[in-house]
Amino acid sequence: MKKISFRSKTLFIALIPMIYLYGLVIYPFASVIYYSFFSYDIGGTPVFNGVGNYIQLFTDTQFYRTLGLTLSYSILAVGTEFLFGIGLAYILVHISRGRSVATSILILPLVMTPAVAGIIWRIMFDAGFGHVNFYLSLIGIPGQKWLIRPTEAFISTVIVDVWQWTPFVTLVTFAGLTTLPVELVESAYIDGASEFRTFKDILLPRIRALLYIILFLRVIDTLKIFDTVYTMTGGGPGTATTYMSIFNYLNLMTFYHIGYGCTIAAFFIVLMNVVVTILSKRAGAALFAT
Amino acid sequence: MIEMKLKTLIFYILLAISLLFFIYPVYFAFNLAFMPRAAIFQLPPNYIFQPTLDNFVKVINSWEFSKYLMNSTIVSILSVSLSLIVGLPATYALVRYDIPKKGTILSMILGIRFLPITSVAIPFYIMFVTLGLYDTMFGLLLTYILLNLPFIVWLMRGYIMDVPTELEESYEVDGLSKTQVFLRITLPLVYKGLLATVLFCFIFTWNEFGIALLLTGTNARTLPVQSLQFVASLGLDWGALCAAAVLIASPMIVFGLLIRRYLIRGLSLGAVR
Amino acid sequence: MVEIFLDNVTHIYGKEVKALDSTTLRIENGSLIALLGPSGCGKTTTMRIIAGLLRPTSGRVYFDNVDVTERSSQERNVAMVFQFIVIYDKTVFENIEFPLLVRKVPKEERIKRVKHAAELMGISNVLSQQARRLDPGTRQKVALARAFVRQPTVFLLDEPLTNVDPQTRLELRKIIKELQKDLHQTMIYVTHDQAEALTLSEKIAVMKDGKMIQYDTPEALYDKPKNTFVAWFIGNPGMQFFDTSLKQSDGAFLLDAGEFSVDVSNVSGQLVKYGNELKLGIRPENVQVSSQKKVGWFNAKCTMVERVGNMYLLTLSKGRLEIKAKIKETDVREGDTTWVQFPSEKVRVYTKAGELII
Repeated sequence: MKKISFRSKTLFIALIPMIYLYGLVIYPFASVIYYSFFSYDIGGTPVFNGVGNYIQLFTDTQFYRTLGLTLSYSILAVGTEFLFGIGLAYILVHISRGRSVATSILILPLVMTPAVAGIIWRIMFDAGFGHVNFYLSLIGIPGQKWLIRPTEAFISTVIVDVWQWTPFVTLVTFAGLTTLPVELVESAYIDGASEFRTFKDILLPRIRALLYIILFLRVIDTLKIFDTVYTMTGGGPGTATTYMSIFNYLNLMTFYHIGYGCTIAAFFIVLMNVVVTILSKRAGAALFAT
Repeated sequence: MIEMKLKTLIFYILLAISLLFFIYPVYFAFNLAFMPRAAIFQLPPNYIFQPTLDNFVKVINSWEFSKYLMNSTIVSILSVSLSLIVGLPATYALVRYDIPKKGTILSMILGIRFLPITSVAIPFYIMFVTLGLYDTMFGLLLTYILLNLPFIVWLMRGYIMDVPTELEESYEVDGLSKTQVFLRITLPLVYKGLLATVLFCFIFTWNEFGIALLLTGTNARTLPVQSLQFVASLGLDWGALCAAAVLIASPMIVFGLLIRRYLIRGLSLGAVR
Repeated sequence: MVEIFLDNVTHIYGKEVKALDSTTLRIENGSLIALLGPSGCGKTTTMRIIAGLLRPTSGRVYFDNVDVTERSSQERNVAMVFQFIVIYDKTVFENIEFPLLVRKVPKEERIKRVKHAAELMGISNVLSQQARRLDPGTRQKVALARAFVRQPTVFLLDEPLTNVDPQTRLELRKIIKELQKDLHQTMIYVTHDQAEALTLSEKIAVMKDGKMIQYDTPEALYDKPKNTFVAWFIGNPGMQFFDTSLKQSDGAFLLDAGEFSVDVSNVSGQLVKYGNELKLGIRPENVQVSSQKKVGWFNAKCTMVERVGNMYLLTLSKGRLEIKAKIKETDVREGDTTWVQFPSEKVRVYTKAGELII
């Protein structure tokens, strides 16, 4: 670790572009906060509105609906991804062949363009001709009006998220598990623990930090989900899948309420910051340790 | 003789079913993309049919597909490259030097990853409109350089930390300047990680949707945004839609398979070695 | 608390790597034996086969005359402590408790046994702390306690003290020895540290290249090593050897090393059978050195004096041969001429192939 000498020009040259770019982030923050106090529609002029926008926000039923939807989405999706993902990791750990095939297939959902994934799933969820209903009917479940009824639409967005991100949970968990020393498993075996018990009580706790990071990242990402939902449902039917990001976007780009849009944005940014701060205590320590 | 215990068999079955779940949409898209129009709406699905390239032709010919392809490619390559130029020296500095508030800086960089893009894009939008950057490649580039930074910093950080300082120091003692050491010694040693980081950022940029949607019109639009347009214009032409999907996502699938082992490291921001 | 018997066990890794070659070993009930040998000699493989982590390619394993070759580690109720200190992400108490928990031992009994084990190891004061945060020495104590709490049939220790600080190492050696004595616990200790093996164990199995060369008490291994490898391996430094020919001269039988000879008339009858070329072995600490001329001794020049611990290691050369002597006190200095004798009762004679004759 070298101490910086302020005569070190190279160091400055190295850091300055980044700091400059970061200014590109500070400015938006400031703007958003600034404009959130204004009543401003595209084409019009900003009119100072005090906390008027905020009052509007907190009395907007749609806002609460959105908030609730977003939270439910996050909890449901992350919960499923964790259970499913770690379960798959468990299986991967306990089989000897086929791992590379499995990992290759597992990365497909992760690299697929989310927007495109939304489109594909949109087709698949089609009530009349979509394959989802078809396969369901094969096992005796009647077809659902996936993108037409509100609850079903909500579920379908969760399914897409699970589809896309479970592999992330699985692959990261699996990677973490493979770094553990083999003596750990042997010791548990000698102590008489079953496979499952070893996994649950010995191995998983050992990668606790990693699991926190996964949790942290997934929660953040599900709260700000946009791409797949927007291309698949556009926020509909009605507002059944209008999550925070989409709510924000609609207000801005479809209704052209810049002022109000900024208010929403300000709230959202603050919310994300709070969440990040709360969760990052444990996850951050682990990240920095690497 | 392979002795499969019942438990192992169940594992394989569960795994297979899960893998089918994950691969199906991809398979589905490829399938429909090559399917002639008539066969598409048939249920039960046709698994065997006469493949056709009609859908692809339609997509490529429509709506200036090649233009958006160019846009996506150029923006991705350029933004990643430029982001590297900005980010690599900075990362190196952050690893090797004892900079005050280093932790805060690193956290701030990481924080970029957590920004809700639709929210932050609003002022960008206003700013771009004011500066005349709306719907320009340049504006898009600027934003993407910023968005790639967290990945570059957090990924390369790990790789650079793996290079022993003693090695660098001995070259310095021999007379190389710190910049030279960085360029001629450290970088070559981390080239594998660098390559993986580049591909990863490329995938990320190519797939990016939200910013592109907000900050581009028809001029600088990228492929993912265009795909949405396809939905509007091609509507029920599922074959064509899937062809578009295949065209847009295939390069990513190829890259993804290439950097398989590094992908996880990228997605977890370096948490897994 | 069992007797362990390995019957003609061979183990091959993959297709070719023969880790164990027809090894037969009987370990008495309640004894502490050490598996000693250079890297790759098969000691860890032996250990793992006894533990049940490995199933031998051929051969059987018996605990108290019961064939356990097919049984799992848990069924054999073995306990194993590794070189890599294994600690679970729990408190010390929960760590020690784990094997009992798995065996569904009732709570009161669990608490009793955990506390007892902790006391024995001297870690009662850290029971509620997170085990992973403690220093290596304490952690290994936890691992030992966890192994002990099960009242296992046999205790397997695979170089457990290698990663532990020296002070705790001594402490633990004492504890292990006491445990073993008080409880008549059968223990197998793998190490490449001779001192440890020699001080701790009742018997040592010296292994090389997958074969068990000699299985004997430390004294026997020291005094009557069966072959040149064992003789050389045991001791610091080990036994030294000289190529000699059996000659007859003036009615006396001599082992002639070229530069000097040793009279072996009294055992000539036994030696003759093995041909003319024999190896003469003697431990440096048994070589007698004097600065004064003595009858029957031969002379040699001292070329180096080193200190080893509280002893001196002298390198004496005569002609082309080098003799090492280890003595407590001497006034011999480099360059001096000294007088050397090999006391006949300390001399060991080996065949050219390395087998012990006398």
